[in-house]
Amino acid sequence: MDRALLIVALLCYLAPTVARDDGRIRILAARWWVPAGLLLHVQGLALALFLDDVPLRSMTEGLGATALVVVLAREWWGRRPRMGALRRILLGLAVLLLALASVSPPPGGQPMKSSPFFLLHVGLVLTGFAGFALNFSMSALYLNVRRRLKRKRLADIGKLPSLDTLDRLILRTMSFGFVTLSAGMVVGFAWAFSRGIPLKSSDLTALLTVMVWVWYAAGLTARALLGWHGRMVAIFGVGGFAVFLLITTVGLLVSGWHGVV
Amino acid sequence: MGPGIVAVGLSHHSAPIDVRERLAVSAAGVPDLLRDLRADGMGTEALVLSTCNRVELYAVPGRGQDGDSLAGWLAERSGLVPRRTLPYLYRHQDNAAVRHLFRVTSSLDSMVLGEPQIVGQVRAAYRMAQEQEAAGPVLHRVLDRALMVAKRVRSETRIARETVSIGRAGVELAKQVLGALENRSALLIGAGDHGRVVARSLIDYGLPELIVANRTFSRGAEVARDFGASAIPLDEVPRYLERVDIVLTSTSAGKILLERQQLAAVARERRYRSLVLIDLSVPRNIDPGADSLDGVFRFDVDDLRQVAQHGQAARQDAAQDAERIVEEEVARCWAWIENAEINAGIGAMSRHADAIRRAELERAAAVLARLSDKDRKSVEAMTRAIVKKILHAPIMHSRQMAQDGDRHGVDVLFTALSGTPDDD
Repeated sequence: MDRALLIVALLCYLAPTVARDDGRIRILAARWWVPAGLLLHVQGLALALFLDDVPLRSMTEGLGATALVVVLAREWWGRRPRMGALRRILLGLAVLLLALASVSPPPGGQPMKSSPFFLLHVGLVLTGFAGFALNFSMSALYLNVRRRLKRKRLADIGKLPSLDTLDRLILRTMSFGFVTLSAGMVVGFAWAFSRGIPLKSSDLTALLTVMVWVWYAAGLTARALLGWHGRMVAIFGVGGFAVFLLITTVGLLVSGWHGVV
Repeated sequence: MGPGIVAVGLSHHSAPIDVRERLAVSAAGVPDLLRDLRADGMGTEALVLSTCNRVELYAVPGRGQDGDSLAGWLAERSGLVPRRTLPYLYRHQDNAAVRHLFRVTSSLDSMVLGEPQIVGQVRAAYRMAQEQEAAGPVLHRVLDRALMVAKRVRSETRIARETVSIGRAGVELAKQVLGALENRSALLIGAGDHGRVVARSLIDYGLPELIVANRTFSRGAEVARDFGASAIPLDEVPRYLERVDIVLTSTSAGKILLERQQLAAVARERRYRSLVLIDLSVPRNIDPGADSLDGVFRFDVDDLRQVAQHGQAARQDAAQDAERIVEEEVARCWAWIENAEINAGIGAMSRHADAIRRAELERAAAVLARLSDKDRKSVEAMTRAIVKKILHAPIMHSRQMAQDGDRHGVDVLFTALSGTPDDD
């Protein structure tokens, strides 16, 4: 039932993503379908969290929650002037995350007991990933605007945000994602340590999370120490998240959260 | 019932500049024109709008006057031969006149669609008419609505948001890279016209610091003084390239002044912080190869023109929405004017009938004096009721005729029942 609700929400988000620019569907979608999708999305997620013994343990819930943050960010940022293109990118990303959530396998492994620390750990890590998802969107838009300026495709350029604005947003989202991911990792390690759960080098989730952390730590360091601006940081944001998404998708769909390869 | 409002005039659409300048009215000449117009019985209310692109007279015409007579009067008063001038003068009457004023004020009739100056010019003309006591209820209503329509058009359509000038295009491109221009600085190399136009726009849009470099230092200092900027010798330009955010070149050097290699070094020094180069010279002064440098954004005159032309096309699209707003407001405003005229006519008719009633009561005063107070009041009430009942049918009829557009019928009815023109 919860999965079905998420699928319907996905379809609602999909309508404006695929509709033609000047089409009536897009106008209708912007007004009704996305809010309706958001409602179903929240309901589906709430139902999943409620039904699961240990909330956020399944991939469906995790990716669904990340997608929800992305849609909420779209509503928040997208209402600002010149952010129409960002709305589209974020909605597309939410569709992708929800699609992954819809096809992900049920949680496997040992049954677990719910714990506030576990919830905090997963919540923070997912929020960090959502921050990187937003960073990816800003970075992609930055590269698009930059390309248009360089190639002199200047008609309608005024409808897009300035490079300076996007650069600042890239820094903020990257910092936000990094800080929350770091906090989530610390809580996770502390929680595992308190329960005497050993850290295995074959734990794909932990491995990937550490890799993501190192990647963005490197990006922020390059920005702070080497003065990286604009294009380099944007490529870092797009590349990092794309690779992360690919590996996570393949790896986690096979093994589930903290599965062992 | 005479015509509500008339607009007579010429503009860049209808007349060449030599005709426009001969009919132009200076600000000092407007009070005399308004006074003469009323003294000659040409109108009861009037407003003159005289700009570099148009000379227009809006008036509530006097008895027996219309657009043609006003046009003739205007041409003669300006010392022009009416036969030669009249073909250039357009006339709009009633709701067409209201529509014309709304379109003019909303800058739908302007040379540059959506330009903002016209609203200020209409406002100044209205103020002048008020000072000269030439604006009455009709013009008050129409001008208030015109200014409101202009505001609606600017806020509800994109007509004023799109860039149409080279100067503004430069600003837009700089802002597209750098965001807000506060805390930014620009270097103007050369003193060409385009460069100064863009520099002026940048300052108008909040750029706090401008530096001018010119081959002749004294000329550069002169230009810098105009902008409240500072001047530097041309050989100091390389040092400033690392510091400023925008570089404008507008020289007649006829060769590349900023080579790719030099700019690559500058970009490295700046740690790839964005640098906007706007080359307004033809032949160009900035190596087009700079496009491939990271952190460097180069634009030339064609790029600026592309932005301006796109803005013009977008304004044309927005103008269609604006026309819809104008139509909506014209209908509303004209309905008010018609109602006001009908109400004035009905008022005159009622006053005339009441005057007759009171005169007849006066004549019968001796007889009425014999009655008790109560009976006298009853008789007075009865006469009032009779007048009211007699007038009911003509009032309803006049409203119906006005609704059907039968202005002549309304005129005849009011003239017959108001005692005009004999009473005048």
